[in-house]
Amino acid sequence: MKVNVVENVLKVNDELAAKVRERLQAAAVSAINFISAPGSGKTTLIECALRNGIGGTAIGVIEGDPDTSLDAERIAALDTPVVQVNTAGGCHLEANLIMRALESFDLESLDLLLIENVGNLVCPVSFDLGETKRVAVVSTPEGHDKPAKYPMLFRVADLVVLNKVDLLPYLDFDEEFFTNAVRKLNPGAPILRVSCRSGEGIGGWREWLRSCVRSTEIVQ
Amino acid sequence: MHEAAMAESILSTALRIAAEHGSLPVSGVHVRIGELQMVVPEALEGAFEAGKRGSGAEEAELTWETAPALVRCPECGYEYAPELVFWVCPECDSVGGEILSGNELVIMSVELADRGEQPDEGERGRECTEGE
Repeated sequence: MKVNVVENVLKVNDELAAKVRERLQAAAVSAINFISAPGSGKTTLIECALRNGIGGTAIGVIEGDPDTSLDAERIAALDTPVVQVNTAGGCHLEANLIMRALESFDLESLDLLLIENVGNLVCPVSFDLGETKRVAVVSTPEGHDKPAKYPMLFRVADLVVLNKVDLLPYLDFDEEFFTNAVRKLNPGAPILRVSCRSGEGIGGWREWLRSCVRSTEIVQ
Repeated sequence: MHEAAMAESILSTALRIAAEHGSLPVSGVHVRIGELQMVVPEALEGAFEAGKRGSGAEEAELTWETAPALVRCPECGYEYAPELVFWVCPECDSVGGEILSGNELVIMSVELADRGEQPDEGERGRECTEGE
C-alpha cells in the first residue's frame, strides 16, 4: 500500500526554528548565524566585537563545536553570557540545540545573540536555526575559490566577511576572483574585508552588527 | 554528514505513517531531492541503511527522484533552469535569482507491505531522475 505523504524532511527542525524565531522576536533579540570552514576566525571576529563593544548592545553567544568548551572559555573571559553546544561529532547545529541553549540566557536583557555554527561550509546551510541573519566567513588562506566551490552558503548569506586580509601580501589569493564570485552568487550581499589582527575593517564589522539590532532595523 | 540527520528524520516519518496505518511493515520510502540541497543521494541511502537497523523499518528501501533547480531572475522575472554555478538570466544577463524549486527535500510517499508479506523486489527501483 502506497501512502502519499509530501512532507518536508526537515519539518521538525523547521518547526523548532520557527519557535526559536518567535521566542527571540518576543524578546526583541536578533540572532546571527555564523557559518564558515573551521579556522576561518569566527570566534576571533566575535571576540573583536565584544572587546570593542557595539554601542551598549547586550550580546550573548552560542558556541557550536563537535567537542571541547575552548571557544566558550574565550567568550566567557570577556564577561559575556555564553553557552557551549557540543554536537558530539555532528557537523552542524540544529534548531533543537538552539532551543535548549536559549534556556540558559536571560533573553529579555539581550539585544544580539551570536551563534557560531560548527565549522563546515555545507551542512549548516540546510538547517534553519531561527536566526535573523546569516554571515558567511572566509579567511584568505582558504583560497579565493571557496564561494564558487560552495555556492549555496554564499547564495543565502546576508553578509560575507573576508577575514585575515592582513595575510594577503603573503598569499596567492585572487581577490577579484573572490569578489566576482560572491557578486554573481549574491549581488545584494555586502563583502566586508576584515583583519582582527591589524584592526582593518573592524569598524565596519561592528557597524554591521549594530545594524542588526532590532530597534534599528526594519522588522521583516 | 548532514545526510545522517536527514535519514533519521525520514525514518521517523515513515514509522509514524506506518503506526497510523495499523503498524504495517514499511517496505519503501520515496523522497524528492532538490539538486540545490547539497544532499548526496548515495550518502543519504547509506545513512538510511545504517539508521533503519533496529528501527522497526528494517525492510524499507529508500528510492529518490531529483528535483531540478528553477530560479526567477531578480530583474526581468524570467524563470529558468540554471545550468552553471553562477546564475545568469538568459533573457537579460542579470545575475542571481530567487529559488523557485530545487531547494526541497521532501518525503513523497511511504510504501507499506501487507502484514507477513515480504517487500516486493520489483519495487526496489533506484534513482529515477526527472527529465532524464
